[in-house]
Amino acid sequence: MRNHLITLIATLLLTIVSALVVWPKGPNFFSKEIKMNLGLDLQGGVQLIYEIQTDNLGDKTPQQAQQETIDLISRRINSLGVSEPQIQSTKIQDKYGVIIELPGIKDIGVAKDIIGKTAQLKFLELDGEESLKETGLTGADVKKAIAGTDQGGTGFSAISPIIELEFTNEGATKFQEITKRNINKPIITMLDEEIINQATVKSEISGGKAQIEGIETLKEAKETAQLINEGALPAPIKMVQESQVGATLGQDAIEKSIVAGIFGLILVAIFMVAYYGKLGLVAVYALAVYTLIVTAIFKIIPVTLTLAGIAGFIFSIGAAVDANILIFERYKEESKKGIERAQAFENGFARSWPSIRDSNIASFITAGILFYMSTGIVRGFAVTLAIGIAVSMFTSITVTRNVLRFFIKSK
Amino acid sequence: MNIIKLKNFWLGCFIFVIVAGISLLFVFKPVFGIDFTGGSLIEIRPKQEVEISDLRKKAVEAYPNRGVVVQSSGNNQYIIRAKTTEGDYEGFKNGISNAFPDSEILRHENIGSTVGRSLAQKAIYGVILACILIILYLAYAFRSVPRSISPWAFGAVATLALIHDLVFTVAIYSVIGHFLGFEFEGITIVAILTILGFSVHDTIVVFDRIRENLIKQPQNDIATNADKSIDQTIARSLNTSLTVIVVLISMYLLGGTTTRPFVLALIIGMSIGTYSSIFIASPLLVKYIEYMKKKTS
Repeated sequence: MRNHLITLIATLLLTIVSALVVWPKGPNFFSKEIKMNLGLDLQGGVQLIYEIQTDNLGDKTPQQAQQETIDLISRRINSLGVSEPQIQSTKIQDKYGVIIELPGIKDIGVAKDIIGKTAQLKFLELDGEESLKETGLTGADVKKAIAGTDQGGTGFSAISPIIELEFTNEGATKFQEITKRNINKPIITMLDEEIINQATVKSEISGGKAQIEGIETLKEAKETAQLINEGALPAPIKMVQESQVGATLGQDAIEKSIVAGIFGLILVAIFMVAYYGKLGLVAVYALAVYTLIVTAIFKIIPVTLTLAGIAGFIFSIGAAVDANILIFERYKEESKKGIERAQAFENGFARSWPSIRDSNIASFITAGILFYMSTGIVRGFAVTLAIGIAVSMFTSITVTRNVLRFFIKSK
Repeated sequence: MNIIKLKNFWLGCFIFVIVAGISLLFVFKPVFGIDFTGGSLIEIRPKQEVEISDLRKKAVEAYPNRGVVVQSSGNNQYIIRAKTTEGDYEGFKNGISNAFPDSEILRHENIGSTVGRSLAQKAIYGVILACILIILYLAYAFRSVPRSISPWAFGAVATLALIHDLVFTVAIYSVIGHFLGFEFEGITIVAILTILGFSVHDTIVVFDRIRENLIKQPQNDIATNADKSIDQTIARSLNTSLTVIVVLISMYLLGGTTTRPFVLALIIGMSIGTYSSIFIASPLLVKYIEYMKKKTS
């Protein structure tokens, strides 16, 4: 009796704590509001998937290149000022890739420009009359790039944006040699296979400084300088998927899903009470506790909630109801044999347990495989399904059982 | 109930559903969405109410010869899809936004074909792996059945029932999708995997009861025990399915258009799963066990 009371109180406390976590703007016990993490399909934003072209990596492994790409893209995105961006590794068939999620961003163009640039800076010289060859001087030899304006300009365009490059010691030596052998010949600067500057060398240049001219706006000069400073991606990347969801669409989806979910739950509750009477009430209570605990866990971990995730959650409600139905049906059966009430309940619990266990383990296996094998929407579903099933086993056994035991024995 | 007595009839139904399902798939070929084939999608909301036929005409004009499909997605919202490839994402987007300058772009997606193939591959591997692990787990969970019955029978039959459910769901979804314009998308795979879980879940509850009866009443043969077990679990099967389907119907009607194809797939799968756990799984199990007995003796 005392043990039962203690478990009952413990479950009640757990319910209250969960309710406090779930309550959107309730009393502030946790120093800050715990927010539900919403996926891009619900809160709006941009998702980009890039494939890393790992054909010419030199002595780097594809994994290293992937990690470097992620680090570099993270730095580039930070300069965009997006809140809570997510940059993850992925595999597309046997290719390495990167998934970038930018919640709340509206202008996909700017993001794509900044992320997609390999930012490989190269200096080329003439090879014979027509063709160009690489000089061996690259962005890796640049110590610092600074955007500025050239006020000493003549003619009509008095102020023209420039980028000043400062080479490393090694780069300075290379640059001096290149200018020496190219006097009165052009040196071409390329960024990502695009010519950004072409200048004829007038004299040998020592001191390790160079200038890129002819840039249209100061903003462009600043962006390019930043790209050069952050360094080049280890390999070119190619965009293979892009999706953009407006905030209104997501808002609409989440509101409708919540209404549908609540309505569905009410129908289930009505059915349970109509069919099982007082037992049904206990099941509804267990279901309410279940919903609170699951939502609290989603918020605490936190689980990023997507539409597929909501589906997984609603499906696990089915599992939670099923466990209660299994127990009640078994109890009815035992009572029919003429067994006294308390014992019939104990039998009902004990005998329905193997079914609950085996069927839920099979669902766990499915959720586990889904989580392991997939990314994106399928994974979101697997996570909520697994959490839902685990909690449903706990609530149907612990909550339903203890409430029933308490009421039966106290009579 | 005397379900097992008619086991040959149910076996016939089982074969019929699989054959008919596969035939239907040849007639109503499943339409795969851009998640699988690669391509582009734009969802727009025009400022003023428009006729879908006008919108369709304009969209095809803006981006001709690329299989442009226009679909309503509720309250003056439209989804425009096209089979684009990596080079012409921008062309499609610009074409559409120029054709409908007053519209709000709600959603925009470009998917490369390799991503689509990767998703399909992962899904197929996932289903196969899940089946294998479920057979293994059931063989382990049913290891305590009497020696004369192989524990592997339970896993094998549960998997057969599962295949039955999946074929039926995919076929009916294709037929309904044909008329309502629903495609197979990434999220449909999620639905199919859910049905996989539910189908096994439901079958296991009946099989668990058969196991219990086999251990408690070894004097009864498998047919008697199976019939008894169906009787004992049928109320539970129907009640559980009913509650889940009630939630799903409420999601179908109230949950918005984006999730509708997904929920439809679930409703089909749940219904067939309930039917197969009662009328297919146990008769098949009895048939299988009796066949093995005859073979060994």
